[in-house]
Amino acid sequence: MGRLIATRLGWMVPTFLVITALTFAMAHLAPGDPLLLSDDPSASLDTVAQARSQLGLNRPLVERYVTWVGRLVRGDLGTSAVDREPVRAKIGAALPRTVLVSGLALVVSCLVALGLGLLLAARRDAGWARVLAASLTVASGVPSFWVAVMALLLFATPRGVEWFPLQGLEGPSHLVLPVACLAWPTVAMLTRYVHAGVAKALEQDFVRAARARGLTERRVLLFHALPNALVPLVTVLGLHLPHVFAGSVVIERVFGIQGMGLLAFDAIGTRDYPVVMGVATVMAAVTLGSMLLADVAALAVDPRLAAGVRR
Amino acid sequence: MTRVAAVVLLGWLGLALFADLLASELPLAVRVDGVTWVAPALIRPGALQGETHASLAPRAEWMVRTPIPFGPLQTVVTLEAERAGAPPWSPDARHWLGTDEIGRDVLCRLIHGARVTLVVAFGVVLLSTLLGVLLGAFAGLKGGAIDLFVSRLIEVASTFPTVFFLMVIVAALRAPSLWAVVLVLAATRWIEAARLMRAEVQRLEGLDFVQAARALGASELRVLVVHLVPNALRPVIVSATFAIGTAVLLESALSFLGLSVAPPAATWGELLVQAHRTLVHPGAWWLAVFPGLAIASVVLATQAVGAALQRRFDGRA
Repeated sequence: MGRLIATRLGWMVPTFLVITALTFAMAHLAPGDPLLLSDDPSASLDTVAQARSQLGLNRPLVERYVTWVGRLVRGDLGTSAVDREPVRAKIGAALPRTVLVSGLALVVSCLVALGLGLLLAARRDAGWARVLAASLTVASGVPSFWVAVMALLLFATPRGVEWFPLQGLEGPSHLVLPVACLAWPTVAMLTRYVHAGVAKALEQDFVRAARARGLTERRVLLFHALPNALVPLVTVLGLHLPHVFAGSVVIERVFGIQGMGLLAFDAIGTRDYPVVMGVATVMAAVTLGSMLLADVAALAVDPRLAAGVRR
Repeated sequence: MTRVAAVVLLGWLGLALFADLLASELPLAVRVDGVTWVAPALIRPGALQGETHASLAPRAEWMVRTPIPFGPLQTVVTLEAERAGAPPWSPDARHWLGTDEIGRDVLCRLIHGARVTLVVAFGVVLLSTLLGVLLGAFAGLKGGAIDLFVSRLIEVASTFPTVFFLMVIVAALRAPSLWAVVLVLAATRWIEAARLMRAEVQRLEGLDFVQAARALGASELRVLVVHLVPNALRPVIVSATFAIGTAVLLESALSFLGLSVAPPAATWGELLVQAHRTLVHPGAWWLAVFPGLAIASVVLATQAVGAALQRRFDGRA
C-alpha cells in the first residue's frame, strides 16, 4: 500500500506540472493586460512599460513559468496584480469557505444517499420506491444552479417565504441552501450507486446464508449487504470530488459566498493572473489529493484490491 | 418514455432550426410599399432593418405574422409604454412567457437560445467523440509506448480541474464565438470516448474474427476501420448520447457565469442570470422557471434516449 501511494504521488508531480503549465500559458498568452486595465488614466505607456519590467512581464513565458514554479515550491504564490495583496492571503480567506460548503455538501449527500439507497433496495417492490427512483433520475438531469436560483426565489425572497438569507456566509442559516443545492446532483448520483450495489449484494449467496441463519432483515441489510455496496461508492466518491468543487463555483456565485470559485471568477474578470494561477494551482492540488485519498480509501475498505496491488 | 424523449429532442431541434421563422421581429411574408417580401428575416436580412411587426402593420397591404412576433434582440419597452412599470413583465397574452429585464420576449429568446445550446452540445459531442475514438483506437491497436502515452494522457486529463480551466480559457478568449466555445469544451470532453474505445479495441483484438481478418491478409488500417471500430462503437455511442446532456449542463453553467457566447446573443444561462439579478425585485419567477425547464427537458431527454440505446445494445450483445 505504501508503494502504491508512492507511485501515485510520483505520477502526480508531472500531472501537476502539466496542469499548471497549461493554465499558466493560457492565462499569459491571453489578450488583455492587467496594467492596461488599471483605472489610472494618467498612466503613460512609459509607466506601463516600467511596471511591466518590474513585474517581470517582459521576460519569455518559459522563464516566467520556471520562476513561478520556483516561488511556488517555497510557498510563495505572488501578489495580486490588482490590489498588491499576497495571493496566499486571499486564498487563505477563500479556501475555508469553499471547503466548508463543499465538505458539508459531501457529508450530507453521502448520508442522504446511503439512507435513500438502502430504502430503495429494501423496499424495491413498493410503488413509492419506484416513484422515488424515477424522481432521482429526473433530479440528476436538473442543473444545480437552476435549483439554486429556484431555491432562493422560493425560500429567500418575498415571492416565496423568507426563511433563509439571500446572500453571504455569516451563520448556519446561510449554509442551508448552498449545501442543499450543491449536494443535489451528488445525492442523485450516489443513491443510484448505493441502490444498485445493495440490490446486487442482496441477490448473492452470502446474504441468503445470513438470512438462513435467521438474522433479522435489518441486520442482513446493514451488516452484510451494505458493506459490499460501499466499495464502489468510495471510488465513485473520489472521482466525483472535482465535480463538487466545480459545482461550488456556480453555487458560490448564486449565493454570493466569497470562496475559491468567486475569487477565481472575479480575478478572471480583472485579468488578475497571479490570483487566477493561485486558485487554479490550489484547486489542482486539492483535486489530485482527493483522488489519492479515494484510492487509499478504496484499498482500506476492500482488502482484495490491496492483494492485487501487492501481486 | 423513450418516444416522449425523442419527441422532446426533435422538437427542440426543430425550434432551433426554424427559430427565425417562428420568432422574429419581421413577418413571414409582407406586402409593403408595393414590394412583396417573403421571409425577409432569412432572405434579405438587411432590407427591412429597423422595422417590426408593429411598425409594418399600419403600412402593409397584407402580412403573415410569425407565431411569436418578436425578435431575440427586440426590446418592446417603447412600444408598450402604456404598460405600468418597467420590465421585466410577467407572462400575459402578448408575451406568453413574459419579458426579460429590458423588455425582450422570453419565449423568443428561449427559442433562439436553443440554437446556441444545441449547436454547442452536438458540436462538442461530435468533436470530442471523434477525437476520443481516434486516440482510443490508436492506443488500443498499437499498444506499447503509444498506449502508455495515451493512458497517461487520459489520466492527466481526467484529473484536470475542468471548470477552472474552462473559465481561464474562455475568459482569455474575451467574448468567445460559438465555435470557440465548442472547441474549448470538446478539448476537455474526449476522455470517456477514448477510454471506452481503447478497452473495446483491446478486447476485440483477441477475438477470432480479427485474427481471421489478419490471416486473410487485411492491412492494419482495414482491420481497424472495418472490423474493430464498428464493433467497438456501441458503448461509445451510448456514452456520447449521455455526453450531450452533460454538454448542455456545462454550456448553460458557463453562460450562467457569463463565460459562454457573448451577449446580446440569446442563451439559456443568460436568462437565468437575469432571474438571479431580479430575485428580490420584482421576483421575476418566469425568468427562472422557463429556461430551467428548457435545460432540464433537453438533459433528461438525452438521458432517456441514452438509456434506451444502452438497453437495446445490451439486449443484443
